[in-house]
Amino acid sequence: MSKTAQRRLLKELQQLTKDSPPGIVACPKNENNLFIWDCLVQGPPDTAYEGGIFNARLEFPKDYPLSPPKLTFTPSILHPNIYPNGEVCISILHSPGDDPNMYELAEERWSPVQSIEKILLSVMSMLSEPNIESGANIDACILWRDNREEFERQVRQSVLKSLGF
Amino acid sequence: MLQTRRSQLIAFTAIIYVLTISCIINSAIKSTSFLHLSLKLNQGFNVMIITIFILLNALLLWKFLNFLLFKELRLIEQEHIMERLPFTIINFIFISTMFNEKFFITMAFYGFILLYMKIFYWILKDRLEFLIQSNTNYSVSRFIFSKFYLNLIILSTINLQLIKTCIPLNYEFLKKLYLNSTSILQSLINYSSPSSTHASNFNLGVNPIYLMLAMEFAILLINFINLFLHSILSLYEIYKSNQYDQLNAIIEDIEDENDDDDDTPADFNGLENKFIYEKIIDLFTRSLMTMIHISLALPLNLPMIVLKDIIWDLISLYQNCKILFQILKNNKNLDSKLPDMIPEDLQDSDNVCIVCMDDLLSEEHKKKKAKRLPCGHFLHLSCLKNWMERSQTCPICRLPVFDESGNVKESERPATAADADVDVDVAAAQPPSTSSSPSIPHSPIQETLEPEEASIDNNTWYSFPITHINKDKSVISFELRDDKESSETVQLIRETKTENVIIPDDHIHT
Repeated sequence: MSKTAQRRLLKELQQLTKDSPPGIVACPKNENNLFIWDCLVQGPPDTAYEGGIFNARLEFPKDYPLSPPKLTFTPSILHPNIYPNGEVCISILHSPGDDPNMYELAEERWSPVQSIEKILLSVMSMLSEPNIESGANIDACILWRDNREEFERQVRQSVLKSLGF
Repeated sequence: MLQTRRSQLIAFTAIIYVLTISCIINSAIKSTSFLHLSLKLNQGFNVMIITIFILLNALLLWKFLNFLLFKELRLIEQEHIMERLPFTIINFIFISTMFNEKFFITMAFYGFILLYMKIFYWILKDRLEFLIQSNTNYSVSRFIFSKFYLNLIILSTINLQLIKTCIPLNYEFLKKLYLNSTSILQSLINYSSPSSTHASNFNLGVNPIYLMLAMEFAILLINFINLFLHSILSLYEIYKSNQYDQLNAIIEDIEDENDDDDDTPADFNGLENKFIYEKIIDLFTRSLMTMIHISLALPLNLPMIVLKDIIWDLISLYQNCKILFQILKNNKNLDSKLPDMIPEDLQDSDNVCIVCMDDLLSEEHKKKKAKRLPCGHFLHLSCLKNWMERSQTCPICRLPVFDESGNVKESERPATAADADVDVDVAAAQPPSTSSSPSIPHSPIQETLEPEEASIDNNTWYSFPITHINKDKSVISFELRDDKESSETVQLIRETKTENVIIPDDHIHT
């Protein structure tokens, strides 16, 4: 199993280096271990996250691509769908068997068709359009819903801080 | 946030401690004897303070034990606890209502212990998952000597001891229990009077309350065994993959000497059927649980609350069996029931297996067979097998591969749009009124089709397969069919100047 996973990861790496979509950089942390990747995601334009570069870590299970990887932002960012410890909660990262919130459609769940590129792209779209119905960070959810201005101000501040200003 | 909560907890603890001490001192000064004192403490405000005091201490004790065994909890573990805790507590309260209130202290004491054990079990379960998922390069020895096994052993031993304190775990007792159960079962079947079954309660020589607690602890012990078996399974997998890695390293060395540029040899498929083994373990423990539930519930006169557990056991047993059976059957049938991929199929799809991203058909991978799913997608047989253990649907479009009876669902090949542009195809399938060319005359098409039906309902519209499209999309040919299986070809011609679409009469061929 782990051989299949390694091969597939290698293939994805090749594809990503050949033509990577704008705003996304991803590669394994070190050469010996393909199962941990470091990624950089650019904040989508016209949102509070614009201009930010966010570091994330992808951890792949041994039976990838049958099971989904785990995506963690390091450091965490303020967002309704990101846990305070940085873990990202989106439906395509949940395996078809378990359903933590009991309402996701099977179509939205993980399947081997997904790839690192697609995961990171959907994370970018998640950054621009939070889904507060399946909130991971309740405080951020409330802030986003009730006080958008304050939410955006805090996000901008953290973006500036992460860039070293 | 965390800091303020912690300081709040500390302040609350201090206040409760001060209040409790003052309560006791106050009552002690005013009362004449110990009996008087305890009576006073059981009244009004005092009893509230003391209850909070006990609950708070239980919480602190849990925090301390938790720190000793697991250190910091991960977020998912906390969430699991919060999810399951209310249900467990309510369930236990219901169970405790079955017994006389003079056992309240015993019940509360063991209830707390049970709750602790259950919470630790939940955490341990999450920890195992974490252990398997996080470190891919674990050596076997490091896994065995990890904290997980230490905790598992400690908790299981405590659990066993608890069962022993509740009921004597020896041959005689078990035999008595067995005889008792069978006799009750017989009397239940023969519809004998309940009084006779009631009398047999006391044959066991154990208070029913302890029997109940023993049952709960036994179930928990089985859960621990389940966890242990799962960990053994993953341990075996790690061992196997390590062995493989060593083998691979040796082969690579040889290859380096030979200066061969070949791909790495022999695919390692890990524990190919790991998923099925896991299911079997679950099935085994679940059936053990059912047995314990039934054998211990019978002497208790089958109380409702235990009956619920038994029914739940049976349902999940049935479901697990069904799923396992289905997976095994379908996996066996995968090879025989699904058609092989033939080189001609390459026209319709890219030559890539979506799971492993290798070529579907190639000279090098002769040993990997590719299969066509009923929905028209292609996968390697081995890749498909692995996915099917998790989900019985196509990974690409999620259409089920097999139907209920285990046969391949035969559906037509999806429109692959090999020669026609996709957007034209879509436009043709839409009702003409909403399509991009609004001036398509309605009546001519329907007249040629079926005049009676057209007159009944003017809103009916039909979609027809496109047979031919001109290069500049100015002429589109359709094939019309009616009930009598006679077909006609109709051509739509778009005039480039006016953008109107007309159907010339002389273009209709019969």
